[in-house]
Amino acid sequence: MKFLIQVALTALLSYITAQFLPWWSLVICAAIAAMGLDLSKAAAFLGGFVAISLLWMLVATLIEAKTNAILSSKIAPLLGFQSSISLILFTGLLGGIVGGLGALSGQQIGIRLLHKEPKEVVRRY
Amino acid sequence: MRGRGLLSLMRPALFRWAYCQGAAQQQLKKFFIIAFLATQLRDYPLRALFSHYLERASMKKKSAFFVILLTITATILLNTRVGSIPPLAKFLDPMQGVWQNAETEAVHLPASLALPGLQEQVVIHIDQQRIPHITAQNDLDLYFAQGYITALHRLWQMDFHTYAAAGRVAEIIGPKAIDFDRLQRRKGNLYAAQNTLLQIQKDNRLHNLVRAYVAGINAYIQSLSYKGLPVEYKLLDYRPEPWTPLKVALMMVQMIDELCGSDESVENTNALHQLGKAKFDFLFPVYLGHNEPVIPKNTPWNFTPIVVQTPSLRIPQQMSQHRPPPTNHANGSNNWAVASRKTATGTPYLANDPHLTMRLPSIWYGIHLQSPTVNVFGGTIPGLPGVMIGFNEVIAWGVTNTCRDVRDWYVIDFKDDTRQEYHYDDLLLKTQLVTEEIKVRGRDSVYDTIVYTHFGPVVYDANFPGPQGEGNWAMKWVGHQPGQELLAFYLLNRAKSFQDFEQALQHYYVPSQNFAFASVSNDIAMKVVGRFPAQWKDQGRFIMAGNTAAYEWQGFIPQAHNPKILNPASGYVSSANQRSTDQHYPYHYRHYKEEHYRNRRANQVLSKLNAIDEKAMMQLQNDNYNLAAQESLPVLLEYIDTKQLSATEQTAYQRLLAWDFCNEVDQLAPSIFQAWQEQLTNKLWQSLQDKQWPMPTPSFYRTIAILKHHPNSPHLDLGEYATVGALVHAAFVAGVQSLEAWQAKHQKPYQWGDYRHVFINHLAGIPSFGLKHLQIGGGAYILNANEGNHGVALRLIVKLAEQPKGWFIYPGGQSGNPGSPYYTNFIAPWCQGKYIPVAIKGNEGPTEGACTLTLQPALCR
Repeated sequence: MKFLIQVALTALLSYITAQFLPWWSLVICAAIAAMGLDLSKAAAFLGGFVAISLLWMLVATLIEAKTNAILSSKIAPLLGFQSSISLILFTGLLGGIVGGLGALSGQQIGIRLLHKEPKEVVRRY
Repeated sequence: MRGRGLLSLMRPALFRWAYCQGAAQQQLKKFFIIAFLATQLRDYPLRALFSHYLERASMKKKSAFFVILLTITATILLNTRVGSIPPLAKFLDPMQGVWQNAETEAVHLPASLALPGLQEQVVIHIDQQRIPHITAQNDLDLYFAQGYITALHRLWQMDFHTYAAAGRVAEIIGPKAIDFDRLQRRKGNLYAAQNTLLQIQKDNRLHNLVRAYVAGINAYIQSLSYKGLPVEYKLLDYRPEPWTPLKVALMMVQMIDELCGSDESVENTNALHQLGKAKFDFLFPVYLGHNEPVIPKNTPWNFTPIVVQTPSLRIPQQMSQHRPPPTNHANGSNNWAVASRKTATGTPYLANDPHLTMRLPSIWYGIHLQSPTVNVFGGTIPGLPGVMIGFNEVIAWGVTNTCRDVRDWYVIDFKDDTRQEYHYDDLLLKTQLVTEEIKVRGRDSVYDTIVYTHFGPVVYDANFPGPQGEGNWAMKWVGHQPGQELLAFYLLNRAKSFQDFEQALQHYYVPSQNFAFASVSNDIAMKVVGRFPAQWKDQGRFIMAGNTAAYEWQGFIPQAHNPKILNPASGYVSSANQRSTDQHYPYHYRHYKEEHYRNRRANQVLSKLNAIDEKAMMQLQNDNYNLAAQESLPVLLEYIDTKQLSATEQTAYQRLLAWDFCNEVDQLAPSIFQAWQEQLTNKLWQSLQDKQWPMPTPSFYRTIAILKHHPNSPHLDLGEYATVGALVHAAFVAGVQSLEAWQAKHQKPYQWGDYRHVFINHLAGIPSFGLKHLQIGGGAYILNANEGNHGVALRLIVKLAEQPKGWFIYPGGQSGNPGSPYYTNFIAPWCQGKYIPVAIKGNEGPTEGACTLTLQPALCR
């Protein structure tokens, strides 16, 4: 459930910010979405990865279908890919990595930096 | 490690990309250095920054910091261009990156836009071919809208052209372009652009319209976020800079340089010294007499020419490996006009097809401009206001390059190495040293000092292109002192008669063109337009001494003395880059290259044609008749010893005999002729290529004339062959062998459309943005002049009826976006000889796929 919330929240937030902020705003979105939820490192990274990866591949695929791959077929060979499908996968991978790192950072900020570490209590009698 | 995997994935393609050649190793190195530094962050800077905190922090907090830094580093890295890899995440982000540049056929424009700078409302009807039809209430709004809509479709292209003209390409693509940039600057392009700008500023009307055009371009640039940037900006990772009138001037200089920035003085000088005068004159005669000049033979000249003193000729004993980039001999153009009595419709026709290096996005852009003072349709060059080739309600005009030599070279005799003074008869003249800063992407700027003499800039010297530079050669060029060409086009767009046409062209100096003219009132004309130095015989054909006044240009041919013809008895006029006149014209001049076949073919057809309609004009523009083959094959076939031929050679021979001399895509004979022609030229002129200093090669026309009339000339160096006949026969055999080899390699027959590869490169050489293997007929020396990446860059036919009609097409599309269906949609009809009809009068209501964009003056300024 937490995973789904993280994925949905990350994807939604970054889709909205992408309308008016540079692409890297997604890192902040992924971090914010992961911050509040009590997640493990691996879960946070995975959630951020899946959210951005899916979002990017979904949007890319929609454009792909609508425009008949008119541009991706020209961009793919420039970046060393045989087909525009691999370009979509690569796009998803890139977005995923950044999204995952963002989420991981958010998780770390949440539990390591914002929460006070329990201090050793020394009682003096 | 992630970086390594990613890079190795991309490497093969990056090697192929034109701008990455040779630099991929460096890029990889850079990438890894950044990645390495990133890992070091963990230890050094981190400790420096947070040492106090970190010393006390727990291991867990340290690891949190590391994760955050890694994230930031990865984000910055993926937002940075490394070598020629675009900033990957920024580039591939589907919401704003390159994916957003993909377009469908539907128009994505708002119905209305408010723009500051407009005075009144402008309506732009964009038709189903994406041709804008602009209707403005005044001229300034008209040119503002032209600037806006041209930028909308072609911003990157026009911007890149101005960078290229100014020698600023290294700013965009890095060190690979430094030599190109230096040459552009050393040729004095910026000096020419500044002079162009002064000419613009001299005339208020012209200055205002240029400023309005620039404001329109800037209105579009200002509306762009990263998402809307043309794909090339994203790929090369830079942003458009604001436009200025100087950039318009640079665009003009780019055209001037392309069309009249050529000569063969260096090659000629090398040839004269290496071959001797007798052989040089034999191989390269100036006037051959067979061509039909632009202005028909025996046209009387009713003026007294200005006097030109001929000095005693002394050609400096200087030879050089260095020479200006050679001109492509496939470049050229055709235009003609026919009077009403030769037409079926009783209305004159005008046709024009300029041939240029074809590029994508195309150099041409179709536009229809309407204001209370003008109603004109035609081809414009993105970056320049107005229409350059087109028609209005009354007249039509079209241009071909005159190819006249208007650029000469002088050897400068500097007093000493400081190059501050140079000898000039008994005087010492001062130079002007201009230091140019060439900004280089990712590196420190490069500085180059250019020495300006009173002739012009010293282009080649010890500093350029290499330390072994032979001489100090100053360039004297008409292009450095342009006229008011844009004013000429402004007036031409509004011309109502032949008189208006002539008056408009008084402002036109460069690049010199043969202007064909036709009007509804049934005038047809041809006029050689431009500024030409009045020269003595052979002046500027070779490098000249610059230490004396003796070899200076003595003046310019008065405009009234430029050749022209109005309403000739033949009922037609035509031009195809051949000589301007016959030898009775009272001035000496040379063409840096002379056309030998298209001019005669056009005239052959035009003289016979009657009851002409647009179909006949289209047929002539798409004419694939190979006059060179028809004239030379009888001479060449004569030399073939048929008994010696193998079976394949025999078949090829028979194919040539049966050939109708048309270079159609599905024929084999044109390929045989072409292969033979190439082998023949190589074998016959190999001795010229083998010499130390580069020399020109005799034209194919001259080659055939020599084989026909002087086969035993002592000037021919036949090498291993005993006779010319043996050489021609061997060339045929070698030609057929090369075709067999081609066939084996490509696994298909050597049909002309496949064998002669016609292709169009992207302007910046991005491979997948260009097109290969186009199936179109024609070839060099043929009216339908498509050869390699040179070809018919625009076709326009105009019927000058009460309601003038036009048909036009060009190899490209209205959109400059490789992600648009309108990027190359004109190419298939262009190959097939089809046209798009256009009208400028009458109500063409909105058609399917069309849209209307209304530009409103913005309220807030």
